[in-house]
Amino acid sequence: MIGMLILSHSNLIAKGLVETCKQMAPDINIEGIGGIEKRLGIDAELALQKLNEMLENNEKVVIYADIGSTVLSAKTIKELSSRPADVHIVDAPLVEGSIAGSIEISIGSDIDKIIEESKKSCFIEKN
Amino acid sequence: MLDQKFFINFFKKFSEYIFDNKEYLTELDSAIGDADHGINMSKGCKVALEKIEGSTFNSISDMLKAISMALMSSVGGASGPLYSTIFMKMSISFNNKDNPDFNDLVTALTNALNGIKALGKANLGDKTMIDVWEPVVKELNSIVSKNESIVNEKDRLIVIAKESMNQTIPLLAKKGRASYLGQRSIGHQDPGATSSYLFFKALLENLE
Repeated sequence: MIGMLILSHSNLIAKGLVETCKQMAPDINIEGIGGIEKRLGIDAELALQKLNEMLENNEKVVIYADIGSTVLSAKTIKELSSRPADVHIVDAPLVEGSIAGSIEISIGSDIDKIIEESKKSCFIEKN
Repeated sequence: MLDQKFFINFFKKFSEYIFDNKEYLTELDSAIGDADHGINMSKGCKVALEKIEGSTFNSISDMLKAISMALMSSVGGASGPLYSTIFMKMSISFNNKDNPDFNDLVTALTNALNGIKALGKANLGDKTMIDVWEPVVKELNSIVSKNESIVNEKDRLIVIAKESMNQTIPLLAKKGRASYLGQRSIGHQDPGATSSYLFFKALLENLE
């Protein structure tokens, strides 16, 4: 199985996205980390703990992050994790990308397909 | 001598500068960022200080690693992973080196610079902390390659750090939240470059 970790500055965004992805893919292992002591930001050590926990239960973990410090934190925790080679930071928009990725995970797609479909989500036309 | 006490004193001094400039750093960041650099760095330094003051460490490397992890868990903004990387790279450099010399210190700082460049993908002139780190580390390397003393040159190095910080004012931001502002980022001093100046000031002043 492939796990999904959502990282955001906002706890509400992280938790809200987990809820949204679970509606489409209820059985996947997905976790959301966001906010730091009720402020906007990211607790990278907490994110690292969660990532290592997820690596124990999954073959690989895909990370979706919002902007700036969250992306830097994602890169840092990948390097410090127990298996950096099995962690993939997905270069996709957070909301559209993680929803597309969660569906791919739920139907058993391989890592390349999950990343490809997540990336494509930035071309969804909205007007 | 570069022993554990030196690094503890350096970090205490750096934290003191950050606490004293908390409002100033936040003010700089409110002009071109998300107004949290002073608050975030103060929080990080406070947590890291508590961690090093309440513990004893087997080595310089272990102590720097503890600072790195404390900054990562408490800062929250981009400066969290960046400063965490600085202390982590220094920790790795000092692994098994309990009596490091000035050459080892320069190597550690060079590795730290390479670490933050790889992480943030910023280059000189992008209006980031690299604009202070790169010229200072370059000069440090030049001094040790000529077998000259860093201690004798420390005042000049602090001036280089300060001037490099001031030189971020006319730059156009290419990284981070400030880059969204485009031309409006011009005319403001970069907060990350400012805390980096404080880092080098605290480190270099302490050398003897």
